[in-house]
Amino acid sequence: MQELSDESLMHRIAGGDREAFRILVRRHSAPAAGFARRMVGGEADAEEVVQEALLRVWVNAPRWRPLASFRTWFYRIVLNLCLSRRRKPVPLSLDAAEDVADTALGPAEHFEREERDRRIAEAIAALPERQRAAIVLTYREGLSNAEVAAIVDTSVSGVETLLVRARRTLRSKLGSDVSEGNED
Amino acid sequence: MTRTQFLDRLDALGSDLAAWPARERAKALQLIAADDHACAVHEQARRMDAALRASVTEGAHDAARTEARVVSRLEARPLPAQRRSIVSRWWPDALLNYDFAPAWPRVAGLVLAGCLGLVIGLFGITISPIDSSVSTATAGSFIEADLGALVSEPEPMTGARP
Repeated sequence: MQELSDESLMHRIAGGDREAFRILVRRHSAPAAGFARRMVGGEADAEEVVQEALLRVWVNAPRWRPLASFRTWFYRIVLNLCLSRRRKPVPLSLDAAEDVADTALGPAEHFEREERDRRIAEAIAALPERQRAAIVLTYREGLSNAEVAAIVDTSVSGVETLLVRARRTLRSKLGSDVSEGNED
Repeated sequence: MTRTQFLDRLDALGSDLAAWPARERAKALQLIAADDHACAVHEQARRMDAALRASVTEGAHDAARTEARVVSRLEARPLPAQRRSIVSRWWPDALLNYDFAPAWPRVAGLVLAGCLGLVIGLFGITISPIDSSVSTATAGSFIEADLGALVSEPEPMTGARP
């Protein structure tokens, strides 16, 4: 069952298949929590949001129709739950950055990279909610502007406007830190 | 494509030109080849995109920990009952999966027109007397008349209405 698509799993979940739901949870909980963490700021809050979103998926599965991809629908639920919390953005933890630290880097480069990631995380956390959502969905999830538009509930040109504003804000805040440094 | 247009599209679509629409990509590549400033700006945007992407991506270890916590919380208590609509029990899936969404105002309009037609067909349209000076017989005929009788001329010879 592991190789089934999200849509096929949803069809089984609609029939009350708990094993299919378990697979869907394992497939999407971590990426969705990563997205939620950047929207609400805290790890515990993000996991609560994802847990609630997954329960909504289970409860509403019999009513779900495959008009859009499951991922788009699921991230829309997660985003709406994040926005409804109305939390102030907080500086993000760098635990994740430590996990992906390149072992080939020396201590000085490692420290520089951590500093840079911290500044980027703070700059993203300070963006308005919808701009932040567009940036995180684009860079973290690798979604196209059309997919982001479906999640943020706006048009493609609306997403482009959000991204233009967000990128200009980030560029002005981060300056040469990210645009002239070494590419990792 | 001017330099300003290129900068706008770069902020809207990102530095990965492969993801741009073909027409805009061709114009952008022409500009980058001809304009050193555009080329430098594109390189800066590419570096910023790479830094942002690296910054927002978690490691596998962190993802596994998060997944384990969410799964354990969900499995700690029984799942709630699923919501099933009454319609979905009787209607075939093919019909329910048909996407009416873009056309729903038209479908609603059609249903409304159908209902209105049924009501008019069953009961007709009764018109109350307009003028009190009209004779009782004429008033009676007005009351009995329907919309078709009002808009159709009577036969000139027999006076019968179609």
